[in-house]
This record gives sequence, structure tokens and C-alpha cells, in this order.
Amino acid sequence: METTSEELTLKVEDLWVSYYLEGREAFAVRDIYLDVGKGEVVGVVGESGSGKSTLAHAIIGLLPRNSRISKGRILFKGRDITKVKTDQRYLYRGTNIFMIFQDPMSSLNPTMKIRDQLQEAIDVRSGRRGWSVGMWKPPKGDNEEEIVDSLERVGIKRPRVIMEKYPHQLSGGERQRIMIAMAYLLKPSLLIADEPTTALDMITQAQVMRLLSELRENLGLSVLFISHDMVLVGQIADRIVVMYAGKAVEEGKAEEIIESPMHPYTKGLINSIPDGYKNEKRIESIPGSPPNILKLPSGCSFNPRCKLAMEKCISEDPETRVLGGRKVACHLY
Amino acid sequence: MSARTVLLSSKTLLAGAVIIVGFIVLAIISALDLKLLTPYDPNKINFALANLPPSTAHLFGTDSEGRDVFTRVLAALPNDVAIPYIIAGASALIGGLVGMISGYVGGLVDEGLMRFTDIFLAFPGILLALAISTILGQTHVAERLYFSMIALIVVNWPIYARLVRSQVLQVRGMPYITLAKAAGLTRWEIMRRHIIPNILSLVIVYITLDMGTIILFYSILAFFGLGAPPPTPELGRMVYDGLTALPGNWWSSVFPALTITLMAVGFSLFGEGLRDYLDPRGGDYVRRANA
Repeated sequence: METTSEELTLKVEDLWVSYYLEGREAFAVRDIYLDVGKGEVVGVVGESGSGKSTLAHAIIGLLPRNSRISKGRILFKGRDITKVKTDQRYLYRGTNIFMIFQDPMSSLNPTMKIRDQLQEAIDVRSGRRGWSVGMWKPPKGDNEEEIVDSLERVGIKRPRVIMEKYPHQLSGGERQRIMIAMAYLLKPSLLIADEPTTALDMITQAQVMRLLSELRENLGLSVLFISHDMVLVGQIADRIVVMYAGKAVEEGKAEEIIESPMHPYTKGLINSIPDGYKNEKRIESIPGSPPNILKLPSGCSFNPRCKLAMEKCISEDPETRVLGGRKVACHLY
Repeated sequence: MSARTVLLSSKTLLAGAVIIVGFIVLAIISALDLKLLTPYDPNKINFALANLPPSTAHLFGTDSEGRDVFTRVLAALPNDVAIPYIIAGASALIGGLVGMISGYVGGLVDEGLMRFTDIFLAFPGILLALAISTILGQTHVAERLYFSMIALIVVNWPIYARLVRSQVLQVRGMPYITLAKAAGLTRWEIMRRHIIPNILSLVIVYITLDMGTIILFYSILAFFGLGAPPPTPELGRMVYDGLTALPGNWWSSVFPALTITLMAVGFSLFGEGLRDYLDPRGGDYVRRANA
């Protein structure tokens, strides 16, 4: 089913993002096309250094100083936000696009109580802006019910006690829940989750994943879920994009990608998933490591690690082919 | 934690606070009505009472012109207590503003502002202050006091600019600043809500520790006659005037000098106590662990 760009929350077209490294431009994101529909969850999977995090930061407009979008468009609800001036970009953050991060330990301000940080989200959503906002403590009970409600939604027990605490008094899982509570208060159209569970233990990880699913159902928001973990992405995503060395090598429905991967890199990722408790077969891994973006191999970037590499793979970079709702960039197809 | 428990948590903090508050109270009373503290006139010359040693009638003795040294010390307090606060406050304000802009805007603005502070930091502070107030003070004797204050502000603000800039740079890179940006705050809101509260305590500690140095620097300028014009009493100037009466009359220079020292010590104690209290790695932590 084709959707027009107005119905899409996010449409990324031909995006190239470069870093200025060692005196020259190196591309961390190359030729990315990405659609996120309303209420859809799109997973982006790749190893460290595949450019998935750079892609996320480019979308929300928080690229580091030494990098820039060198080509392409990012359409948020039909508007190209790469054309928006830097000092106006904040209008597209928070209530429109919000991002939660990998490191819950340092992502909350250590000098602010939880209630004040959550109040900040309410202030942004309700347009209480300016130099003087928050200068004096809001009168008790101002937005207290809303803050308590958001904490209850993310499964914090005793919310009235927790909200008076400082971040260092909470566990990593609790802090990640506070960030999800911020999303409840901001009510964004698009949530970017950049490896939100990587720093957490397995049980907390499962709880946070359930909270994200609930958040999506309750607010009907679109999610761009970024992870290196294929299993995790498979749990939540409708569609999956596999990235390697800055390029999308394969894209398709989540179950199709996991059941029948086409690209040798995707196959490698799926084969490296441990097979539960059975312990029957050796876990396969992909030999080698991702290339340095300063010296990418010629042709297909994956060719030095690919078991099926041919002459053509070294001489020619494969184009992306559309095969029945799937996209794959490999000379095998 | 209330201010009371903080003060009682450390002896240095308490001693510093007592000295600082004591001087402020004395300065205010002295400014309101000197007669409440002493029966003498600080400026009345009476050679019949010249060079009297300390006694119950004249606690700090009298100087070579027969003026009561204790009375003159008290009369000097309003100026000598207030001026360091003004200098520290103005330096911190100017330096803080420049440092914040420099650290937060970055790029060419940062480069330009920092090279500008380098010009001031290249000179030894006290020499630059002496030069500025001497040159300006020669022609405007009555306003010399203000020129000396300006000179010390000029010498002091670049240090605050550097301090604040380095702190802003450090806080700016923290993940919670990125989260605040993602939540849709503008750069000024982030400055106000996240950066300033995080660096404020450090700047306050630095101001407190710096106050002692400022008191000494201002007294040096006054010593060289660059403070308030006579006959207004001034601690630094009294030390200088008393030098001519040495070694016979030691009290007319030593007591004003001790007063200056006590003021500086008060701020040093308070500043160190505050630093220990606010820094978990400092002495206080060790003390608590040992207790």
C-alpha cells in the first residue's frame, strides 16, 4: 500500500551525513531512504559504527559540531526540516520529535529533582517558555497530578516519593523509566529510541521494552527504534532496516527479515543470535569488523567480510533492488 | 539540609562565617553612627595625645598625630568591608557573562574573547592594577578610590571568565544537556535551567576564596595612597602612615594590618569550609569516613 508524504510522520530521502575527520570529509550515513508511517515502529539494526546513531542524531538535529548533512532531505510531516535554521530547530524537538538515549545514568541532570525535570517536559509541551520559567519553584501541586500519573504509567511504585528524589538516588532502570515518562508528558509524534536498553540488565530490558510498546499504543506515536540487537528490534518493530557502513543493505517487514534474510550481512546477524538454552550448535559470527569510514573498501562495503563475495562485489557497489516489498542491496539478487 | 546544619558541620565554615558576619555588622554600625562604638573622633588631631601605647582608654593606642587607632580602624570598616564585595561581585558578573558566552557559543567568538582575556592575564595582576590606578588617579585625586576599584575589577574578571568558560564547556558536553535539547528546550533555557545551576556553587566557592586576595590587593593600593582621599581613614593607608613612627610606635601600623589579615582569614576559612562541604572528594568526605 502506497502512502503519500503527508500521511508519513517521517520521510528521509537520499540522506548523506559526513564527519570532518583528519582533514577530510568521511561519510557515516550514505544514501539512506527511510519512511516511518503514523503509528509505525521502524527498527534500525547494525553493528557499532554502522551509522545508525548518526542517522538518529541527524533526524532530531543534534549532530556533533564536526558533522553535517551534506545531501538529502528529512521530511517531518511533509516539511523539510534540514532547511530549518539552527535556532528554530528546537520547535521540532520535544513535542514533535523526542529522543531517548542509551545512557540512563548520565542523561538526567544530577542537580534537579525528578519532579522538576518532568515539570520541564510539561513546560515545553504547554509553551511555558522563557528566561524566567522555573526560576522559582512552581507552587506545590501545580502539575503534580500529571507528573504522578506519568510516573505511574511507566510502572514507578510510590511515585510521590520518587519524584522528590535526585537521579543518583535511582537505579538505571528507574532512570530509563523517567525518560519514558518524559515522552508521556511531551506527547511527541515521533520517538527516536537510541539503544534505550543497552545499559540495562535482561529483566529490566524486557520491562522497558514492554513500556515502549505501551507508550506507542497509548499515544499512537511513531517510533524509530535503534539497536544492535536483532531479537530486540524484532519484538517491537513493524519494519526493519539493516545498516552497514552507513548504507541500508536490506529493508522489509520485521518477520520477513528475521525468517528469510536475503543480504549476507543480515544472514550473519541472524545466525549470530544464540539459540536459547539448547546449546546445540556453535554460535556463528561474522569474521572481521566493520570498516573505518575513512577507508571504505571499493565496491560493496561488505565484500571483505562476505563469504559469497564475487569479482563484481569488489568492482561495483550494488544498487538497491526492490523485490516484492523488500529492498536489498546485493549483487546476488 | 538547612543553613544551620551546614554551618555547624565544620569548624572552619563556622569560624569563617562568624568573622565575616562580625565585620559586616561592625561596618554597618560604624556607617550608621560611629559614636555607638567609640567616644573619639577618628579625624581629630591632638598632639597632646600623640604616640600613646595601647591601654584601656585607647585599645589600639594613638598615632603620631594623637588620633585613636581603634576609632580609625572602625571608621575605615565601611569602605574596607564593602569595596572587596563590590570588586568581587563586578568581576564575577562580567567574567561570568563573558565566560558563559565564550563557552556556550564557541567558535570564533570563543577564540576572540579568550585571546582578549589573555591580554590581561599576561600581566602580573597587582602591577597592572597599580599602573591603572596610578595613571588614572594622578589627575582625579577625589575619584581615586573608584579608579582603584575599576583597576582591580579589570585585573580580576578574566580569571572568572576562564573559570566559568571551562565549567560551561564541561557541563555542555554532558548527556543530560543532549536530553534537554531533545526535549525541545532552547539554548538559553538550557543555559538558565541546566548550566548555570550546575556551575553556580563552584563560582560561589571561588568568589569566597578570592575575597581574601581582593582585600589584600585593595589594601596594597591603599597603602600606596591610591585609595580614598585623606582624611577618610583606610586600613592600608594607616599601615603606611604608621611606618614613619616605627619602631617606637608599632601599634598604629600593626593593628590596622592585623584587621586586614583577620578579614582575609575569615574569607579563606569560609571558602575552604564551603569547598570541603560541596566537594565529595574533599577533606570533609575523609573526615566523615573517619568519624
